[in-house]
Amino acid sequence: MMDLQSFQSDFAKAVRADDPNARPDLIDGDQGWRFGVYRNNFFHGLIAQLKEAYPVVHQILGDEGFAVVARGYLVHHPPTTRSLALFGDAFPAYLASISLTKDDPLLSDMARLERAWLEALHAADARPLNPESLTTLGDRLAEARFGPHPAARLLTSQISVVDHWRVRRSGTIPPTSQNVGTGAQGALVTRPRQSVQVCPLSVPEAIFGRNLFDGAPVSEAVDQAACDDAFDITEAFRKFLAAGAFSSVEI
Amino acid sequence: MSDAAFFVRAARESGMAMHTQQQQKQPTQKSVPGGPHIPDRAGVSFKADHREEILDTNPEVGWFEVHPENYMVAGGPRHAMLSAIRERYPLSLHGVALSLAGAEPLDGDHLRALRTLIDRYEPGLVSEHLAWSAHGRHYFADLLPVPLSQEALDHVCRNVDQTQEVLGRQILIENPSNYLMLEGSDIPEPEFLQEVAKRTGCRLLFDVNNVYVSSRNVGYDAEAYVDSVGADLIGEIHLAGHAVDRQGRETLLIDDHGAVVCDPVWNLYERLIGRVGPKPTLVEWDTNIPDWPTLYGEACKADRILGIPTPHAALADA
Repeated sequence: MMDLQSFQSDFAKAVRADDPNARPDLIDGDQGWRFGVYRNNFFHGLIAQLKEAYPVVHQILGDEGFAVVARGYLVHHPPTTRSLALFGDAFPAYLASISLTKDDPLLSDMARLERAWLEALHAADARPLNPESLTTLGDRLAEARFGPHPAARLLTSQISVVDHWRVRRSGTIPPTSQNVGTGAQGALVTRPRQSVQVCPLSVPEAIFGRNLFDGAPVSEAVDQAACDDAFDITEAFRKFLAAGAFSSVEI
Repeated sequence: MSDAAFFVRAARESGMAMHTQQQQKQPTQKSVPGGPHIPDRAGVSFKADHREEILDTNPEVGWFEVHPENYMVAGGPRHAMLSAIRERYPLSLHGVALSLAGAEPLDGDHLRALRTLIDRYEPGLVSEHLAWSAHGRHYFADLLPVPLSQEALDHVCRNVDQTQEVLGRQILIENPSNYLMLEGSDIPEPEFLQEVAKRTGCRLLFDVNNVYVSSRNVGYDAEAYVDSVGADLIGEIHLAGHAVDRQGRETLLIDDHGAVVCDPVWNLYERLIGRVGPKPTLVEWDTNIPDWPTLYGEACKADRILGIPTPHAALADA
């Protein structure tokens, strides 16, 4: 008789094997189809979990396409934590790496946005910085450093990822030149209270925000962003503060 | 801190003695502290889909149960929702990921996360499964089967002891749904579970649907099983629906918690309650989530068997 460790190694290998006919050594042929229950629970259960985490990527790929990609992801990136609430962190990078999807930046960028959304949803609760606090800083604003809110996430994309996300989420398909911009776009994802918000940014605004989130003082963040004439610091602060992107400020 | 050091400290802080190997082997029942009271009446799985209806109408439900793994996040609406439920109802945490029958050491991070939830929500019951779900750093998100051998018995007892030490309280262990006949499984399941309870001081979560599913899939005698478990050892009962998978001439019942409780399971439940008396009973529903009245109706059916007057009898009869 096999010891517990060998039994479980053998069983575990067959559950997550790529080959749909994989069976543990000690499960005889007659019981092979019964073993399928466990493979089915593993793959279908976790594919459903990924669908929930990446609803727009699922919508773009369709049921069948998503299942193929998600299955490959599970074989290469099975869960390593016992809570699945944040399962799928490597999915955006996976989409950017496999031949099936890597040539469509919309997929991996959409996945990055949906990942940011999920992380924001489950991040620690904190009171966002009151926008009024900016007025008290006066001349010292240039030296101020803003602490990011625990739920705040930033990303940039070569495509208008937030426009695509909004159109897809609203169910207005397909995206047209009327509802989706062209060119690069940034995204600010926040959860000031219980609802996640997604705010489109210009690329300079995203660079500005990234520098602030990384701890740079305002003057330095502006320098990084302002190589683009279109950057408007007042508008940028309005967006970040309205979205609850910061939880603290210090001089 | 290493896991080992954490376990020792947690045991000390929880005021429980660390047990030597020899003490564990003694067949006498150990005493470990339980949690705040869960009434001997029906509760239901709490699902986010039903949140508004529950919070708006405060239905007559004895208690709610959730999978703690879904709440192992830093903050956000899940905690806000569960806190609102907890303010109104007793709560039970029903874990699926501890891997008590796993050959590898328990996951210290996971146990710590569970302890944090227990400290925060003060559940009346904390339960887990006779199953393993992780191996070689990977988590399978499923309850995988273990041959019921002497080796497995010793192993499960060690893990239950360690879990109760870290959590500082008693847990319940649930009988699994079986799909396979495993070589080397030479201890009958009810005997195995009762032995774990006697050695570790844990109690049992008696899942009637799982007994029925196992009886159909691997030939357990369901009535004998229902009659065999000591009343004092049963701390909670589960009821649920299952799916029927037909492949050629063979049929397998799948424990998917996705339908109403079937009549043979209600009959087994009545038989069990007739023998052991009223026990906290959960109607589980995890897939194909129904509308709230359907789930509530199932709870009312269980309450009637438990001798609890149901306020919306007409609804339950629908």
